[in-house]
Amino acid sequence: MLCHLFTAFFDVEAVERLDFYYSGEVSQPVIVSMGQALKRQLAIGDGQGTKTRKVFSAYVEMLQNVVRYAEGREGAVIVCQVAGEHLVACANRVAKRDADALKAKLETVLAASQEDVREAYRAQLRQAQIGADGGAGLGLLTLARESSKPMEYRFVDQVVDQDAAADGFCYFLLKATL
Amino acid sequence: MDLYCVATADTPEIVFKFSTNTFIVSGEAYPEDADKFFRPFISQLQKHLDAGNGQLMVFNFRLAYFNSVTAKILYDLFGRLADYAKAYPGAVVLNWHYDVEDDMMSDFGLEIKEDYPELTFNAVTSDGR
Repeated sequence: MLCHLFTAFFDVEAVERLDFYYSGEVSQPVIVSMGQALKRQLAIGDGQGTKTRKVFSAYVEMLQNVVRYAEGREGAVIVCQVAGEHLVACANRVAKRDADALKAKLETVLAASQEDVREAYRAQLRQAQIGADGGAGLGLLTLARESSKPMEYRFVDQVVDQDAAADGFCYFLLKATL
Repeated sequence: MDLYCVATADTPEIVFKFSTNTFIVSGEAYPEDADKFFRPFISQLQKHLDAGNGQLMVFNFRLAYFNSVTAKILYDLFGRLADYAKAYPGAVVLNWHYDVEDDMMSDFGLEIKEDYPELTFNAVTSDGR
């Protein structure tokens, strides 16, 4: 279970409404079927409009990243409200050797103004080739574009359970506020 | 030959009626491998565009949600349509349907309009019900 990692972002006591939580194997069928449940929970199409769509979008982008990149295709995701804001956060295991490249990508996106994010997003869309990375840059830009605040991330070294104790891995956490 | 594909939870309904030059993409699009999903439709469409000689082609996009990789594929598709419309001005109509409350879809439509001025772009809003 990776749930306690989310305390890096907020206290469990601070969660006002827990819409959705999952920890385990992530695959496209899992994303789709849980997504249907999440949508019902968020009451998409029931007058809630843009906010719930952005929450769903963040959920999909984060978990599809887990499928593409995470070690073991395992991850955790939480959708909740803290201090009146909708949060989507995910956690997954990554190889330490990949952490620096990921960190550099994130720092570039986080340092950009909202206008720069929009421009970078459009520039990526116009590029003819689908990136060798499957479009992860575009995924992060999509998250940044739809976030109401800068995203936050952490790399956590702590050993979560015995299986994860292998050397050379750490946990990557990402939080978006919608 | 016309192409038809029924919608699933993560892939849209696609109706490509080459016989009447009318095209519909409708629903949600966030497949695991969007490139693989859309490739057969796009390659058939490209053949049709190559063989076209200025006939009017009408596209209706009615997407409730698409992921980032699908956004890129849509841009590739619009680029192909814009090339055709460069050769035959006014020959591509793109109707972009979206829920009036959905500012992301609205913004995306505006970006298409700016990036592909060759297309005859119409924003069509609905109330999402």
